[in-house]
Amino acid sequence: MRADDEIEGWNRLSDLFDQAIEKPAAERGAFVARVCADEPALGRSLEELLVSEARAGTFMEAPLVRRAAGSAASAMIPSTDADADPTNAEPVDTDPAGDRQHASRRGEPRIGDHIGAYRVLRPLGQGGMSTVFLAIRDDDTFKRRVVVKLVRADLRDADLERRLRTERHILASLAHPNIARLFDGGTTEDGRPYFVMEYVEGLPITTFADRYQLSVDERSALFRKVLGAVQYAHQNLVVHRDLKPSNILVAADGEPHLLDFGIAKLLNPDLSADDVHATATWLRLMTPHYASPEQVCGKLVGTASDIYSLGVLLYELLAGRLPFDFARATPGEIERTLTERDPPRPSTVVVAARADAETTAPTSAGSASSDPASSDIARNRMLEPHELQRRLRGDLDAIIMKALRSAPQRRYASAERFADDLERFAKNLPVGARKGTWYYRIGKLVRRRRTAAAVTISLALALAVGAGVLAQKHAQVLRERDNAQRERSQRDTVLALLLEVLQVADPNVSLGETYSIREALDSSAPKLRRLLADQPALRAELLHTTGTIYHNLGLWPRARVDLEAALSLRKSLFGDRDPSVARTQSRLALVLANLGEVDTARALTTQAVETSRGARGSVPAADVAILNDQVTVLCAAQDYEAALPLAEEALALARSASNREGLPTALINRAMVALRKDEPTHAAVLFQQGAELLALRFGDDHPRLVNPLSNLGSARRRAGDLTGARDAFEQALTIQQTALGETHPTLAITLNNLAGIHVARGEHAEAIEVFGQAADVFERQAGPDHPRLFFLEIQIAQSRIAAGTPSVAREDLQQSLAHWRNRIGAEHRFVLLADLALGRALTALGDFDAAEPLLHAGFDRAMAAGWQRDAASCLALLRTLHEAMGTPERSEPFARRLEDWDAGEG
Amino acid sequence: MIDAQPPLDAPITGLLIAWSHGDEQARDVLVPLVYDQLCALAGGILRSERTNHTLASSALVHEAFLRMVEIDKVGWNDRAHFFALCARLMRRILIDHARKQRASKRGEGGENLPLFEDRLSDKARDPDLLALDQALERLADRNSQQARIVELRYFGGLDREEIAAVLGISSATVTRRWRMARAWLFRQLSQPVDPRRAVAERLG
Repeated sequence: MRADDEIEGWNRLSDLFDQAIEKPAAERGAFVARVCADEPALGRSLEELLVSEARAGTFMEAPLVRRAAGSAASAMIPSTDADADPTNAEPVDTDPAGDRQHASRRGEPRIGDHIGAYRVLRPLGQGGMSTVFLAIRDDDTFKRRVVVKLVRADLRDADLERRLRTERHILASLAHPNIARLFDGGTTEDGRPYFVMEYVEGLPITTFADRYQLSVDERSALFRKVLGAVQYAHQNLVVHRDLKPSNILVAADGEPHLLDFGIAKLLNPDLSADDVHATATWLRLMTPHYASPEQVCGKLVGTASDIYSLGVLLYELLAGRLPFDFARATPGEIERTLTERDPPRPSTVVVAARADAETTAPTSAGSASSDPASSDIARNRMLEPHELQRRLRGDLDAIIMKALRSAPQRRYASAERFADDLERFAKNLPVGARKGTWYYRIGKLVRRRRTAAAVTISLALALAVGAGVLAQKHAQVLRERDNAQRERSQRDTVLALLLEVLQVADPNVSLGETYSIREALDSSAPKLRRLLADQPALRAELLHTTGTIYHNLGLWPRARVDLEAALSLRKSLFGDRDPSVARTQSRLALVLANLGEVDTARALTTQAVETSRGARGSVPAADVAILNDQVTVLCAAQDYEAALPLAEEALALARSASNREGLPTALINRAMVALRKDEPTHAAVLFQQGAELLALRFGDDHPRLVNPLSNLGSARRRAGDLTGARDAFEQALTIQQTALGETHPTLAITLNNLAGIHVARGEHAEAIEVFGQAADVFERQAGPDHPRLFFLEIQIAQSRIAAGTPSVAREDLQQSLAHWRNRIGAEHRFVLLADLALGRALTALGDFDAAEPLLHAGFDRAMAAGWQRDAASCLALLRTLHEAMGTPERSEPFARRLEDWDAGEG
Repeated sequence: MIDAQPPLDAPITGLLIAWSHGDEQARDVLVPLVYDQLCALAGGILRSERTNHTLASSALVHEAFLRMVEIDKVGWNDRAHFFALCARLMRRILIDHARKQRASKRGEGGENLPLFEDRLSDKARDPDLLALDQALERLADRNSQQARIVELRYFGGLDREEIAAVLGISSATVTRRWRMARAWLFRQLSQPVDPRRAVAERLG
């Protein structure tokens, strides 16, 4: 029968729903697909139900007919406590008599009791500092329901009443649509202060945003309203000091309401660093997750503290996780973390939960147990995890990180500035939190002008870029007057076009779309070339420019195509010996060197320099770039002997030039030669000078600084300056992480270098952590099968042995070996290195019987393969082994052999 | 605190106790009595709606409920059953009222107004009562127990333990069944309106 079938189907649906709902949201889809594989209709119903469940919000949560005083259940679900599952909300006490006893024991008012002129309707909840009641003023003709906060009896404070009197009128005068009004306040007969506030029915902002699956833009818009309210309060000299989701309720109409403004300060007027007790109490009472560093340290708290808390809130609102997880942290750890570390950028925490079991400091966002799945977080924002990451990366990262700076004066100066930046982001204008780098501004420009016709946009981009390059060359003094004239008129044409484009472009914005320079170039370059079909000189300039951009983006094959086209065009226009031809040759040589065609590159660069030297035999100052390119090419060819005199010449030329455009590169090139010629101290000085000049010109967080800083680190390390090396690597790392993103190829290298410094400094815990980060980054770039990951695992194991945990190292190494041996073959050098590390771990563990054959076999393999350094390591390890075994006599042959070896090599 | 209200109609208590001891006749006498009481109550509440003071505070309802029985004389289970009964009756009264109101508004060519204006913040998500009633009937066709749970919770204000006592099931089961029923009803009632979009529009 149909009805029976229906009931049968319903019961199945019911069972499956119960099972599915218990699973993490991310796994539900797979669950439905699995159990309903053969019953698509059932699967659809189940899916619909699950979606409805997630979206139902507070639907029907509050009964139409509510329970009240004295009824079988004495209190309803507190409607402000939105996190409570309605069906799980227990009444405060189901036994009225028990309630009475219990209540009187605690001295808490019961339903119907009065606090001041307010009659308690029901308790709403228990806060850290107070008990909260829903109440009504009997003589209020409007029967307005209010919230009464009654301060905990043990927090009574003799001074509080006086403060209440002085501050109450200030707080009561705060009239803003997004701030819950403070109506009244006073002290009960037994001296407990209370506050009477507007009753707001709503959900905590984070809960609201997830329930309604607000997008990133909607969340940002909602948050800006919060900033508006905070700005208003700050202008009235009221600091909140306890901003957190449960104090920002969003009503069903989507309006946020900020609760408890100024209350925290009233209750805790002057925390000072020496009042350790007060600070500790404060910390215990407030949620440390949203506290600013100065709050946690018990320092003076101002509006900047609210900015920090808002930064945490925005972090959570957008990335779905907290910047730091303090679930198990002690106050000391919290203080250290907040003052010493930056949180991971929001975009880095949304893709995969990081499981750094080794990390002792509470740095990773979200603990394993309460960690929401990345896919859930993203889905609540109607995105996939990688889309969310892309959305957050860049501007939003920068905005949030600016609010979260540990130094108060480096945060946004006001909530208004904070809101401005978010608004600028929404309109695709450059945000203040990011220094206006060249690429960044142009990227913004393109995103902003998307509504204009495609060709126009492309023109804007390519010509803006072109103009930038031209502007850099602006001061170049050309040898030939004609050339100068010609180039100037070209430049004027380009600039005129640019200006026209900018004026024409529609200022309307379209949100949320990213448009990379590469995409813009790919789609626009052909059109541009067609547009310039009858202006070959300009077309050549354009090709040279786009080729240069592709080169800067690391897209060498594309760069090559454009530069070769530019070269042949210029040659046909101006002949082989024209300065513009030399410049394109020079740039093309650089590209070819990067492509591995070193010989062709050499030939080209030699030609370019020859052209530039001309009859006089010396390169004009304006062409120092050509000389620099040649040094770069020669370094790529590893011909440092040939590079040295040219590097010296370039440096001298750059120093003598009226502008210093070419100087940083010349310095860095010269430094590179010095480093290769084993003059690390000299190299370090030159790298440092080069990096400083670049920082002066582009800002100290510009990506161009990464290479010189990394090389500076290497040079310092070789010169024995480990601290200086670490500083340089860390500086490079910061730029890479902020400006280049988590997947840039150079990031893993820098991390690896930094870890090496930690090893050399004996900072094993740090080394393990940084090696681990390097492995993460590398895996993301190269996939899980790249042998380099194995090498990083070996290095981590070495650090573990050095850190005194050889048993962990042994286990890790055995696992790594089992995993990699099949993958890369037992003959691979990394397998040998892992065996040696394992031998070392076993020696440290006293398992000599296992260690000895391993090291002997390793020695034989190393000798057979011709890896002398590894064989030497084996000998050293065998010597150590026998010393540890108490058989030094057996170690002697190894020691001798090693000495011979050293002598032989030395 | 609440003043002890003298029971308006002592017989109800006795009938309730008798019913809970298996006297079905007592129930037959009880229902019309309670119904009349609830009607009077609902009528008072609903009349005040015209003057823009609707179900001002649900506490009133319960004070009225309590006036009907001497709560101290009935056990916890009996109380639960009594409230369950009230829930059923209250649902009927409120639905009847909503139906009449809709008919009269239609007659005037006006719009169907929400029943309880003062619950402003819930307004956006309060279901249309007539639609809810129909959906509950459909739910009862599929699983009558789930429909009861909704009725007890939503129209009677019973909590989980009370519902468990009335229906003779565990409170965990109540939680599960409620969760699914709520989701199903939400879908039934919200299909034409996407709450997310409504919120998004408000946020502008």
